[in-house]
Amino acid sequence: MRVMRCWIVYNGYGGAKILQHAQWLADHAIRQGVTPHIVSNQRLLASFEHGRAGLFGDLASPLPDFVLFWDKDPYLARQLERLGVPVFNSAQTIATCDDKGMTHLVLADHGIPMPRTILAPRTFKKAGILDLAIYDDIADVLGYPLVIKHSYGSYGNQVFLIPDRAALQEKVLELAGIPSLFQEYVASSHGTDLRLQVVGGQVVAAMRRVSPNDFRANIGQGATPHPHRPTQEQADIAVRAAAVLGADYAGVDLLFGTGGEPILCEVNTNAHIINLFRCTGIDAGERIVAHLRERVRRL
Amino acid sequence: MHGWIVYNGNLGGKFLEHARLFEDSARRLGIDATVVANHSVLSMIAQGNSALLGVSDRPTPDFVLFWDKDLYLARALEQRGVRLYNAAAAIALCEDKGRTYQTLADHGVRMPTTVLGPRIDAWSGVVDYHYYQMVEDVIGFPMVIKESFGSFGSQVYLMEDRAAMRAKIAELGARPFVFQELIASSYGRDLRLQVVGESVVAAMHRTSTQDFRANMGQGATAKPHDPTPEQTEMAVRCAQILGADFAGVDLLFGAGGEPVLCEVNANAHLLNLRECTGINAADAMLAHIAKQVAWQRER
Repeated sequence: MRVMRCWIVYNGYGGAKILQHAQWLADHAIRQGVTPHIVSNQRLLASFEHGRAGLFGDLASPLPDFVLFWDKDPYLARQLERLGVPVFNSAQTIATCDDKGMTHLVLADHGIPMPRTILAPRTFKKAGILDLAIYDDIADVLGYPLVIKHSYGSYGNQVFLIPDRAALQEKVLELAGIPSLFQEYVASSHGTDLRLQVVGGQVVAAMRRVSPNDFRANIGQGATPHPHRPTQEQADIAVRAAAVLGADYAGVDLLFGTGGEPILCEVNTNAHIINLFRCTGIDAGERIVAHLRERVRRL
Repeated sequence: MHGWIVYNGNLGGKFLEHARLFEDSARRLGIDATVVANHSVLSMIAQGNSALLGVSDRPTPDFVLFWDKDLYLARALEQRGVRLYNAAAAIALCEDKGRTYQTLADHGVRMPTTVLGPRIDAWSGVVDYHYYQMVEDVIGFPMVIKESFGSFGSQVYLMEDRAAMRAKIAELGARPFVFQELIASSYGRDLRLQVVGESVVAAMHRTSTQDFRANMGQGATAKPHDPTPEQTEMAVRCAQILGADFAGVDLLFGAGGEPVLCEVNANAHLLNLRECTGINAADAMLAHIAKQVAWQRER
């Protein structure tokens, strides 16, 4: 039997931390008998010539048995799929999780508790926002303080706690043309949350993150992680969310409701598994590679 | 039969005029239709379930003529079982030019040689010039750069050389775009074919004397056009592949006069088309919707 080959695609514009993850995953691939090739999205061109989809670049052939897509480049992920290469996570999953508003919509009606959320109506930068009245309606439903999140944001950036009407009216004007959502502030989870790492339908590691000075519990915002043993209820929600989104691996963030019950906050396709390893001693990278290797073998 | 005509409330102006155009056509056909601004219906998730806010006094419509690009609202309506014209997926595919080409590829649709731009999360300054060299090798100069999300031709640029290309890429930052071959034989002229269902209901030939683009918004003038069977077939085929019930399909002229797909607009401007051709495409669109709704009911 020939050796399985994979590409680990990462974002070449993303800097050292992203590349470090790609190398981390590549090491696991080698240990598990899969030949990895680390490929920047800047080394592959998704092209159309004579109406046909193709892939360009000095690394573009031969195509691998699968791609571990540690990037969010939706064009490239879809192009690889078009060319018949299994991509994990899939282009669809990556696109849905990249868009926080769409994540909540897709997860709705599946018995997954979420903060009360209102998706911002579509606006355009050029035209601006003329009608401010509806934002009062939104505040009536959610109450103050409320949370505004840009749909495309990472590391807790572009998440804002809005204390009152004045702040809301000011922030809303900045939102013209930016997909975003309004969310109930879950006070019982102020500055703390859980990150559960799901791989292949199981929670493999988890941590509780606590921020000393911010309502967000992102490590990028100064929070400290502690190892956590998830309850059955927490694990069930994380696994179900990953399944609904079709994610082979995902970092699922949960908040604490007033009775301590888990509430889904967001889902990250490419969660920071090195931070998770440092905190818990559990290497999700090893599990991700093992899961994909088995999954591709069964294809 | 009762329907909504959804338009973008913050754009108003021409967009509201279009909504009125549809309302008039509906009235002539005996269809009961209400004009609804996108931001008067809010998509909400509460207790983990999806809901619509602001519609408690309105019965669920039999159809929605969705003359907007509010994809959250479109998706939320579809999740409630409402049929949209166009469907949310078609609107999303047409709005993103890269995804339009990607979807139409390998279907025998002639299109300019295209390279999908790489995903750039944030302009970190990490630039791999090798990548742009490869783009030059595939496309050459002059080269067209199109923002993936742009309208009225205002985000389409002609690059004469490498310096201009690199400056433009740096300027675009994290905005998605595609690189494309300039179809010199179509400089300053193109065709707009309005597809409804399986036919082309009106078409115009647009000519610009001062620009490579032939968009009306860029000062082009239009005259009525009688499309060839080849042009008609290409336009209808593109709409069908994209799942669009109606679409304004823009075709360029290849070196031998053959049609080359330029782009597909889910919400094409119908007032210009009517002024040029005397044909009100809104009538055909409402008739198409009425037929579809009746057919759905029979099933």
